Amino acid sequence: MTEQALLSVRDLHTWYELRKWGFFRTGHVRALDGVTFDLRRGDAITIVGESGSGKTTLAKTLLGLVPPTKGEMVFAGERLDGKKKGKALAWLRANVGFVQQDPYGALPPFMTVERILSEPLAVHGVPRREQEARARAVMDEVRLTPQDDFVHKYPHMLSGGQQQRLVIARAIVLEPKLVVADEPVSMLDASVRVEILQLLRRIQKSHDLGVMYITHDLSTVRYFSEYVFVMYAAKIVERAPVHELIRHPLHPYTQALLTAISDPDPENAHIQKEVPPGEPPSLAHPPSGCRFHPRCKHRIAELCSTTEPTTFEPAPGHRVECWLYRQGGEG
Amino acid sequence: MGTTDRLLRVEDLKLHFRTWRGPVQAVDGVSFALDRGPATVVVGESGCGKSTLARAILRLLPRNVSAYTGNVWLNGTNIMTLNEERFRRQVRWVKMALVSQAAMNSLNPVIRVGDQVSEPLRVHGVSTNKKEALRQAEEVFRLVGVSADFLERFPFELSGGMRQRAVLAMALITHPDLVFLDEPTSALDVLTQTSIMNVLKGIKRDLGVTFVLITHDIATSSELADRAAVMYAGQLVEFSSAHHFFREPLHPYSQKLMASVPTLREDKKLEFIPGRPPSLLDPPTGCRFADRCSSRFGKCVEEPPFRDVGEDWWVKCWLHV
Repeated sequence: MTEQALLSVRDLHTWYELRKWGFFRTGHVRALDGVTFDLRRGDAITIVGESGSGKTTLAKTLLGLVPPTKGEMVFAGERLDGKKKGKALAWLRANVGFVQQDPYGALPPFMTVERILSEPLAVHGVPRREQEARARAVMDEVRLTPQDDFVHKYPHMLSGGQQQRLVIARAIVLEPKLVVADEPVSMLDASVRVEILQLLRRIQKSHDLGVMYITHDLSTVRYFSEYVFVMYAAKIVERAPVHELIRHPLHPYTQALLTAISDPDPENAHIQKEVPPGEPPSLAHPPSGCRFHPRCKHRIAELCSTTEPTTFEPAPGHRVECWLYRQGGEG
Repeated sequence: MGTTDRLLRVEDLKLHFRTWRGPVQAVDGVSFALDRGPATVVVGESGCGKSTLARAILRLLPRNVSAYTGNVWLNGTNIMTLNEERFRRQVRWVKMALVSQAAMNSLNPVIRVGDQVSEPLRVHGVSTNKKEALRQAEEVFRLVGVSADFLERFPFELSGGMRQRAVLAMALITHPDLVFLDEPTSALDVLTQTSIMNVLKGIKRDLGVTFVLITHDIATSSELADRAAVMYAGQLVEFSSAHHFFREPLHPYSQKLMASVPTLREDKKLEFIPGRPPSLLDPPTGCRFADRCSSRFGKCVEEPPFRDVGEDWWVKCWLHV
């Protein structure tokens, strides 16, 4: 574990219990199954994965909303176990901001912008006379200006983009060290997506924040972070700098994902794209060996279906969990 | 606009809704024509009237309609003059079908998929024999890439991608000429999206079904598009070939929209459109995009005409008159 890591996650597992008739335990859904990474202060990482790959469970576990089954998380020198209470929990909530997917659902409809922003300050004991100034400062940062036009508005009076800016303002009003953004732009129109991503990026730089951007949309990644993790069936299968990943994807799953993503090009209508057969596996009964092997066209007989691949590092900073790269040596 | 042998011709179509704050001009004077074969994508920001346009053409109206005017010709017949019973028997689902948004989640949970998919045949009087209907369901299932075993299953036993294919089969079972697809892939994963787009391309090529794809996802829409229609604030602002739309759109709104689409493979500087679309309760009298447009000039206070600039390329902008 490096000294300067803001967040350090080791072999993290989060399993949900399956019960029959609400009583008998019948197994587990392995929503997160052995995830390890470090995030330094001021770094932005993106986690890309399809629905059911475990990316939202990762966010929930970090936020302390779901207790981890196994593994270790250390945030700013404190061990997180998902069981924090009282002061320790308040400290965690103040230091980790959360930006939800659906801004309208995340904002209380009966509170004005001013109350939405001063509520976290009041809960965390900021004196009342400072609250207004801080709320206004944060509104300036997310460009909800002029502030006087917005303070008395209710969420339904704002456009989708403004609502999401308000959610971001609320996430940073307590000056956290880390912001977790779970699909912050997927509910928004293309025309405002960019605006929101650029805003998050600017705030990340100016506050030296660690940001974890969770998305299913690889095409927005290069506009946000330098480093990408690709998740498939509850595991991180590949990690690399963005440009490296887009130019030289190594894992067969990442390759398939990149092939599948369209750029707006009229030529697309004339070609059939290659898609791996089948669907992601059930996380209650994941396949043995590599989890992608039933859909993989490069699978190595005997090996991929029986033994889980370890991490290889065929190029510096580019790590992949796939047996195709075993000559490259373990990373 | 065009000749009568075109598949669909829409002329000055209007659909306004009554609300307690006044009439909402959801679709306001839309005209265009489609040929048999090429697929059209309808793009625009949410709330611009894309879905309402499809519903207006298919006459699937809610109760609070305050104005519903214009002409729609399908194969040369003005379907706006048909009464509801004839419209249902001769047009809706027989000639034109719709895969509505989130249709995959509106399958009846307690009826077997095969019975639901073959239902349009019985309801629209194409085939009354249940066995024959199921046989046809099996055929369309093969077309959309689902094994016939799934006919016997219940919706909860199917994955999202399978359910989406099933509702597509339901739209195709009556062999309609024209199928409207309203955001058919936006709730699905990237890989599933791509395989469904592959299925649609195959059906377009092999069966000659004419698709109208309504979506806000411009990048994915390029997978099917032969022509593109851009909507803004209840009106069509540009209608052109896919090549023109994706490479060199003329309307300032289309240009801004294209500039905001992220690309994976090329490093382009993304832009966003400042401001927000006007309220459809009281839209501006002149060009509806003028407030957000960087090339506006004096003339823009008047409403621009929707003009053909050549090669069936229509633009509603004073810069191109």
